[in-house]
Amino acid sequence: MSDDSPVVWSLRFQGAESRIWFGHFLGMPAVRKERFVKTYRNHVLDERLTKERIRAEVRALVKIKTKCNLLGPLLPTILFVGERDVVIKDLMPVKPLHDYLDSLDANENKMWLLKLIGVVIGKIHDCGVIHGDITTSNLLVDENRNVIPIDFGLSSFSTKSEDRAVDLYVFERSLQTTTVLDSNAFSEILNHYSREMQRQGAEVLKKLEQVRLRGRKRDMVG
Amino acid sequence: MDFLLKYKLQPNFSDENDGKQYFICMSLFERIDNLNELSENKNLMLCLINASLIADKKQVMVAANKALHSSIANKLKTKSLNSEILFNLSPSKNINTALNTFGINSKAKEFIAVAIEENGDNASDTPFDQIIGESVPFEKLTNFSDWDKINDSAQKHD
Repeated sequence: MSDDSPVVWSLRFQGAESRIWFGHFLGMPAVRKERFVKTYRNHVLDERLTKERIRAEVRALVKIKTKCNLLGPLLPTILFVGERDVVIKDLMPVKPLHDYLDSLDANENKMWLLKLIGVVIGKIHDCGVIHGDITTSNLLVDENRNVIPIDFGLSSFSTKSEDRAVDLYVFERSLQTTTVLDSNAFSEILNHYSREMQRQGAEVLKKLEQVRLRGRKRDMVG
Repeated sequence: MDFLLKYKLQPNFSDENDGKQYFICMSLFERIDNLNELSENKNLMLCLINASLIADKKQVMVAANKALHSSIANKLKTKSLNSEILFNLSPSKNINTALNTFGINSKAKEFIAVAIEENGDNASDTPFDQIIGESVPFEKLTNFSDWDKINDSAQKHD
């Protein structure tokens, strides 16, 4: 028995940061995320940013996979990490959240989805991880109605309410700009988030109020 | 040889492999008769893994691929490619612990023998010929896995 499959990777997506390739790795279907060289950037800086982001991504994935019962089995298994590449096991068929919402009927009941989003973000924060870029394209929905967070390249480790509130704020802005969901829907998400976070939930929501007034960046006065 | 698995490794993705191809060859042994002889042979081009700590062959493949990547990039943390495979399998960062638990030790009975081949040069003297023992199909691996020990080694890492 041997594996003679040719090593061919086909390009699926290309973003500003990376290319996503589908192919085979050690006989398994796999996805490769290549953080390609950005020639427009100073190459010392480019190398450092790439390294930092790959490191952040792998660290967060491993942490959540080992700590979280809900997300652990859903997040992809890491097969290989190179200087510019991360290879993970193939996911089930998935859709980004905004595409998924578009495919739903306008009056379909979306409560389960809002609840799940709140719980998933709560679980991430509960592991001590700040995602850093929760957007509607970085949350995937699979055929079994699971919500899977991806792209931990900008993530960091923190348990501060401030950082958690900023994380939620980024997501709120993303919901406002890419979907038809209204503020009621977001409060529903916050509701379940807060329940997931137990005692710390209320504190984060209070911080979120402040963040809304000033924006993502903190004032550096005085 | 019977029951030999062979997979293509991908240590790099850019075309910097100089057109070389690498393969992992592995075989599961229920019994090895000349273990002492093999463990003393310094030129042995084989990695012998304690099969009771392995739950799936993919574990070994991923570890071997990483070892090959490090070897090509001159970033080996241990002395050789074969010991690096054991090191990568281990959740511990201690090289000695890794080699003792995942390599040959007094308690290990079943072994996974691994060789990394370049360009698939199937020369007649494959290192597997030096093993005297009983080779079995890889599906039998689950019979040898010691789940208490696997869980134990995984938890130590936390």
